[in-house]
Amino acid sequence: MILIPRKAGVLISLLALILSLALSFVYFSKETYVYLSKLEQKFSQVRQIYRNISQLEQEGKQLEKIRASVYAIQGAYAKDGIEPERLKERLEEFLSGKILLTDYIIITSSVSEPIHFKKVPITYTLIIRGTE
Amino acid sequence: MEKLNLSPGKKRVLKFSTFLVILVISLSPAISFLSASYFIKERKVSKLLISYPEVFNNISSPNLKNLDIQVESLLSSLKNRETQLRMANNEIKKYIIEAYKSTYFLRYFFSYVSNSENSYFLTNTIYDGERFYLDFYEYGVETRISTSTIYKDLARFYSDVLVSLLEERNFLGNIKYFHYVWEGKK
Repeated sequence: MILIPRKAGVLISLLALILSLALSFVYFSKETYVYLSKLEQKFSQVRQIYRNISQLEQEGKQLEKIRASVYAIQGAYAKDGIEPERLKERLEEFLSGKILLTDYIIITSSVSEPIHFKKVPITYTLIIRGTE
Repeated sequence: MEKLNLSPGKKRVLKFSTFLVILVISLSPAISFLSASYFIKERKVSKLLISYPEVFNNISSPNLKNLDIQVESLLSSLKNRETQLRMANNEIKKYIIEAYKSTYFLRYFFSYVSNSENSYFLTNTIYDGERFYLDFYEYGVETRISTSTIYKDLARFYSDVLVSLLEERNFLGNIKYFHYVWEGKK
């Protein structure tokens, strides 16, 4: 029959109690508490990215609408000259509302001096070429 | 009463089986704590999954063992999607801004002069896809063109912006003309 001194037995059992409790607490804090905080952090990241994606999708839809309003014209030419009122009308037609995509614009008046109050008929040359 | 020591010098001992029983008893609080912590972990994870439907709806099984891996892979795929969307939106934005820039100076000029009390005479406008050049006269007692405001507004879309007053002269009585040039680069 194996016999163990009582004092040593009690001491070993006490040590085992304290050590196992300490280790289980460490395990709890590391494996449960830290794990849960990290997991919650990741979940919250997922939520944040979900929201970002939703915002980006909304933004994308609005941008698509704006892109649809961008238009290009083959070309608008008034080389022979048009009156200032007609020029204003044509430019309003091109510039109001939709976005005109162009890579070439020339608007030149027939007179390049300050002619206010002079009865000089002014005509404009207008050339607009759209992006192909 | 007199104390009797019937076995002087005899050590008190424990049987090995008794020692094992005491050892198991001393380990039992830690074992209970461990099982409780696992139970707490499971409950907390379930609660988390309930409060985050975005995660719950996108994982194959709410198994504690591979939940971490599943969430990581979900995060990674969502990040990819986010990057793709951001890039796509930036491309569209870039296209719209490029298109907007090609006529913005003209829109801006017309909107500026239409809100002014003075008269204007546009003499020359050139845009070659890269640079714009606007030449015009303003007529009035004093100029309504705020160089700093125009510079600031045009510099939002263009670089190398120049807003120059080339000439200022008395025209008729106290009315003057102001010869301006606006320039900029896309």
